[in-house]
Amino acid sequence: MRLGLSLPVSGRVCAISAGRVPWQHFASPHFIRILVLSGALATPVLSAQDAYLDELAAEVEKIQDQGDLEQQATTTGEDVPEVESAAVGDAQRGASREAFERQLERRYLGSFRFYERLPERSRQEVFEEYRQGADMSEIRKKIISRLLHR
Amino acid sequence: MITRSHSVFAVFSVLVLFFNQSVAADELKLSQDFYPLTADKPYVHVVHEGQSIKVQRVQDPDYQLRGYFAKTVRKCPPFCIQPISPAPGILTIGEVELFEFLERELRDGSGLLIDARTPSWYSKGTIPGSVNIPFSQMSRPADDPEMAALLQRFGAVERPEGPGFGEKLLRDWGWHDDPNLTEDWDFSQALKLVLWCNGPECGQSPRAIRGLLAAGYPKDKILYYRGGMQMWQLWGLTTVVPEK
Repeated sequence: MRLGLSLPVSGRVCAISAGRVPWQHFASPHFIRILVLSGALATPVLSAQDAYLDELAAEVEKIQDQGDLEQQATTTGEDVPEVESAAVGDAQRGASREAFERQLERRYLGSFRFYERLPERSRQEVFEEYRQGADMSEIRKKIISRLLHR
Repeated sequence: MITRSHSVFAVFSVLVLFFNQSVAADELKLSQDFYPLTADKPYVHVVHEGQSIKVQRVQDPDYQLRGYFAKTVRKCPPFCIQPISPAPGILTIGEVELFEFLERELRDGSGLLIDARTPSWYSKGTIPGSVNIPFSQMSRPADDPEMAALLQRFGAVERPEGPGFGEKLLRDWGWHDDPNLTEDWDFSQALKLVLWCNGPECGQSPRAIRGLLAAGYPKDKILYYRGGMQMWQLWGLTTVVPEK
C-alpha cells in the first residue's frame, strides 16, 4: 500500500466537491487509508509527550526533601509560611543559644538590643520558645512583651 | 492630673515609637551588611495564595546551595540546555526584570507569573507569586475546549463572528498586522505572561510558550524566564512550598 496523504481522484471525490456525499464513500479503501494515517501521525506526537512526562516524573523523585527544604528555610522571610520540616526545623532549632542570638542580631538588630536588656531568665525563656518552634515574628513580640513587663 | 495609667501609656507609646524607629533603623543599619536584590531594591513583597511573601536573598554569605538544583548535569535528552529564546520574537528575561514584573504587572493584575512545570515539581517549591499551569495544558490544539478556557482565563476574548469583511480582506492581502487579533481571538486585553520552569535545561516552559504561540497568543505578551528554579535558588532567593 502506497503511503501518502494525496486525495484520491475518483468519481466519488467529485461527488463530495459537488456537495453530494454518498455514504459508500466512507467505506472506500482510500477514505479508510486517510483516517488511519491521520491517527498514525497523531500517535507519535502523543507518545513523545507521554515519554517526556514520564522522564519528568522520574526526575522529580530525585529532589531530596531535606536538601531543598533547607534552602527554603534559610531563604524565608518572616512572612513566609513556615515550611520547615520536622527534620530541618529541629536541626536548626537544636542549635545553641549563641547561634540563635547571632541570627537575631543579624536579622533584627533592634529586637536584639531589646533582648540584651532582658534579665537572664527572660532571655532563656525567649530562647526556649524559639527552640519549640515559634517563628521570629512571635519571638520579637515576646521580647517586647517581656521588656514591658519588667 | 496624670494618673498611673497615663504614665504606663506614655511609656508604652515611647517604647513602641522607639521600637518602630529601631525597626526602621534596622532596615538602614542592615543595608550595610544586608545583601539586597539589587543596588536599589532590598527585597520585594509578593502575594502568594493570599499571603504576603518577602522575596529576598539568603543573608548568610557562607551559605552554599545544595540539593537537586546544585547539580551541573542532567540526562540529555530530555534535559538539554535550551536556547536563549524558545521561539522567534520571544523576549527572555533575567531576575532583575522579573523583580520589576513582580512589582508592576503582577501587582496591578495585568500580568501572570506561570510555573509551567508539572504539579509534582510545583509541589516541591515554587517562586512566590506563581500559579501552576502545567505546560501540557498549554500545548493543546488551538481548538481544544480546555485551551480555549485557558486563553479566556488569560483575558483573551473569543470572536464567534470571526473577522469582519474589511479585516478579512486585509488578511487575504497580507496587510493585517495587528498581533492582538486573530480570526478566532481578540488578545487586546490579554495578560502579559512570564513563564518559567526548572531552569536552562528545562523544556517545559518553552513547550508551553510554543503552544501559546500556536494558539495565536501575541509574542509581545509572553516573556521567558530562562533561569527558572535553578537560577532562582542559586541566587538564594525565597521559594515557597504550596499548601497541599
